[in-house]
Parts: sequence; structure tokens; C-alpha cells
Amino acid sequence: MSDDAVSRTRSSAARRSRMTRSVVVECDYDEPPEKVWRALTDPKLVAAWLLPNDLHPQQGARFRLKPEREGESTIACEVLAAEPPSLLRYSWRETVTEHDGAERRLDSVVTFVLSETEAGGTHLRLVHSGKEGEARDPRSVEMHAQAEASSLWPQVIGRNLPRRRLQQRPAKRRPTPIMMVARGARPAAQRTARWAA
Amino acid sequence: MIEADIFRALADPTRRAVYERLALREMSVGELKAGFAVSQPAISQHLAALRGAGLVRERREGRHAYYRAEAGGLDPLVDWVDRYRAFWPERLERLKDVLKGMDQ
Repeated sequence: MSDDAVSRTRSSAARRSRMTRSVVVECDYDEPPEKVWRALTDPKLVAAWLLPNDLHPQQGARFRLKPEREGESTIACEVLAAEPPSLLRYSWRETVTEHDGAERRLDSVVTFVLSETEAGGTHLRLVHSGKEGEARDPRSVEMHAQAEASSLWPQVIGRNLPRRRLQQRPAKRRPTPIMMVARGARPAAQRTARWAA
Repeated sequence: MIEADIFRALADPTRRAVYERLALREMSVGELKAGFAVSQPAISQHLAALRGAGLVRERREGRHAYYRAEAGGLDPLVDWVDRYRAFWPERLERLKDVLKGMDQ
């Protein structure tokens, strides 16, 4: 490795440019997938837990999520996959205004995967990822996660995770790159967000 | 094509490498090209994409142009991750309440 390459890997900006850009959250619900599906796709119900919207759960349908607070930008979406009651995926495009007034665009994809639990409830896995393209295939959520995990991008998220620790991890890991996992029916205050080890 | 989207601007490995070199110091296209096995027009295209996403700044000096990483250019990405790490657990908790309130 050349000196230049060594100093390059030490550069903080370089490290930050390699951040994994996904958030994964998992949650269990008592209700069956059909009912959860309805809450994910009926505009009135979606407005009650997510944002005001004109969602229509059909592939190719465009809709918007309206901000709750003034000054926030509208999120432009397009349904990429809708397979009741197990898979819903839409694109999520937003524009953020920086302190200097410059506008930056961030395109991402949100995927909801629903599966029935043994108790007849629903396990929901949400993946919000900044990488479009490879995740377009409705069946490829796991593949997508694997692609993220095996990519060259170190599994760094946020500013505070020391890189050294990440490099000591074994090369083969389960496909959970990014993880912010919130499980179960515990109230928000007790819920612990953790990094997948 | 200008990659206005920051995610996509950094998705290409060569472009990411270009960005990382410019995070170290300011360089001309010629200097930049020395580290890569791609043509100068290709480098220029990557630079245009990075500039379009607000990640790289150009400085002109006579006939020459120099490039460096924009300070704080990655802040939107960091903010994005922070925002949604907080956003989704809170929303999925709300969804729980919505489900309880639904008939059938």
C-alpha cells in the first residue's frame, strides 16, 4: 500500500464517504399480515402513523408524503412493488436545504416485508436504503442486505463508530450490515437500539 | 449527466475514489488522473457528477481548474442516517397504536 493510499484510508472524509446508507428496523405486531398490510396501504391509516399522503398501492403509482412541519419538503414516492400482504416497496425522494441555502437531493427506497408469526401476528422488517437499483426485484431484500454487507464499504454508520473495531470483525458475517433493530412490543422508552454484532 | 442525488454520486467506486483523493488536498484534473486507469474525460465526468451533488468545489485560476472536496459535503448523508434511525422506530410504534384502533 502506498503512503498516499495509507493516508487516504485515514482521511476522515474518506471514511465518512463510505458510510453504509441504510436503516433497518424490525418490529412484531399482534395483528395478522392482512391487517398490517391495510395499515401500510390505506391512505387514511398511513396518515395516522406515517405522514399525510395520497398513496395507492399499485406498482408504478406515484404519490406524495406531505411534511408535518412547515419548512420540511414533500417526499416524492413511487410504488416499486406491491404484493399483498407480504411486500411493499416505494422510492423516497427528498430535497434537503443546507445551512447555506443549497439544496441537496437524497433518493432512497423504503421496503416493508411482512411475515406471519407462529402466534398469528406479523413480523415487519423495514429497510430504508440509500441505494436504489439492486433492490428493485421484489424478492431480493435479503440479497440486497447481503450485497450491502459484502460490499467494499466498511460497515460504518454515523460518526462515532471507531473503524478499527469494524476491521477486526470476521470477513464472513450474517447479512445485517447496518442495523438499528427495534423489536417487539416494548414501549419506545425501553426499546434498545443496537448495532448488529 | 449530473448526479444530483448524493447517494448515487457516491455509488460508483471510481467516483468515490476521486472524491476521497480530493478530500486530502486540492488537485488539478491532470494530478487526479495520475492515480486512475481512466481517461481524462472520464475523470472530468466524475468531477461534474460530484460537483452536481455538492461534494466537490472547483476553483479556476487562469486557464487551470483545481478541485477539492467541499467541506461539509457529506453532512446531508450523515444527517439522513441520523434522522431515519430516530424516525422509523417512532413511526412503527405509532403503527402499533393504529393497528389496535382498527376494526377487524
